[in-house]
Amino acid sequence: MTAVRSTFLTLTLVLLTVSGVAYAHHGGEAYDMGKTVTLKGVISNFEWNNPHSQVHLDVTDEKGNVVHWNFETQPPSILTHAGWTRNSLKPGDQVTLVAHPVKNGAAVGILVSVTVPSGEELTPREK
Amino acid sequence: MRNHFLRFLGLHFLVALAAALALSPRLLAQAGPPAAGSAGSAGSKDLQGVWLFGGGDAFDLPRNAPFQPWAKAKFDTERNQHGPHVVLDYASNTDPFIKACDPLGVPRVLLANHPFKIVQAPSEVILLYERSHDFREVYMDGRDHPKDMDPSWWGNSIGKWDGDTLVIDSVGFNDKTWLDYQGLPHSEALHVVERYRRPDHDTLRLDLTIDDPKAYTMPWSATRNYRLKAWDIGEEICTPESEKNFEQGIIKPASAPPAK
Repeated sequence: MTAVRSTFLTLTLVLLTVSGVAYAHHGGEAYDMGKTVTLKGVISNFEWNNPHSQVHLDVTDEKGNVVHWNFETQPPSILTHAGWTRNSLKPGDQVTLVAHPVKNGAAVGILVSVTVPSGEELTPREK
Repeated sequence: MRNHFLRFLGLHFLVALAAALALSPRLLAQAGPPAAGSAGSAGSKDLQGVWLFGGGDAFDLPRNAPFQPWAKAKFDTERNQHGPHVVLDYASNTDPFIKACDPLGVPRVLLANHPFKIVQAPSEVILLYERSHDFREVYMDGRDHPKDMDPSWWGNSIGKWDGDTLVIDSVGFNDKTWLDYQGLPHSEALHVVERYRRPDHDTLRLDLTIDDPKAYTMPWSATRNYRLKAWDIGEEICTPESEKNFEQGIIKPASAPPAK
């Protein structure tokens, strides 16, 4: 399996009846909380910041086109209590990321979970 | 920048003062258990600890506010990502907290989904908020509110015990803040009463009354429950730079017209 194929886009839409994701203080109206996407890709940047941390993910499709996704998640003060550190995601990490996408079709979403190379699944919910 | 520095100095002075008071053996006998942890029990006058909102919609007050006409008109012009008039883009957003990183003030800070810490000293209660790293002092020495106060972001708070309930009475606010995230307005006549009690060890109940006769035709109330958390208060600070970064990375692409 080539590197490209190992990170090829797998897009899955799942209808959720209930979402436990906390809305951000900016509100969650941009997101389609009824849809979930699962993406395999490579971390290009992880912004451990206020007001919301951001996870940048490069996703390559079968034709070799790279799509730059960006995901909102909680700020450090909250993620710390969910078991994250500023080093939880590093550029180059191959991960599987689950998110609710925005309604307008842009490559943006709010993070539900991310499974890191060690196999650990991180979520923005406190443990 | 200068204001931030002064606030930083002020907060650290307060924490140091509270720690010194709590650790003083002589004062300890008067003050009860030390601030560390939460030794309080159901029905006790010890509310110390870190408390986090217990779930549900933490952000908005009930929408059946009894508006005065001008307040309703102002509310109808407000726009952000909460409430009945949702906008996604920053250009249309009128929230002073999002647009200018203004302080949340009272009671809006009580609705944030970040924890706050209660520290009890002999003559005052100190409330430390993770949201914006802000604080309030509640004077418990029997004083009244000052006369002819300058309106301020956080107002003036005095407190007393009503049985096992801590009653905080606050006035002296400016009219620049929103009452909540959906944009309920208020005037400088805002009078907020917070009643905190501990129905069980891990629960803090807030009964909130908002009275602003210039903005609303009658007082109205809301209730919130917070749960005890093992948590060190962190830095959740709004800066124009961080908001701009978030706007560029998330809000701008998320609020663009759908691709054809």
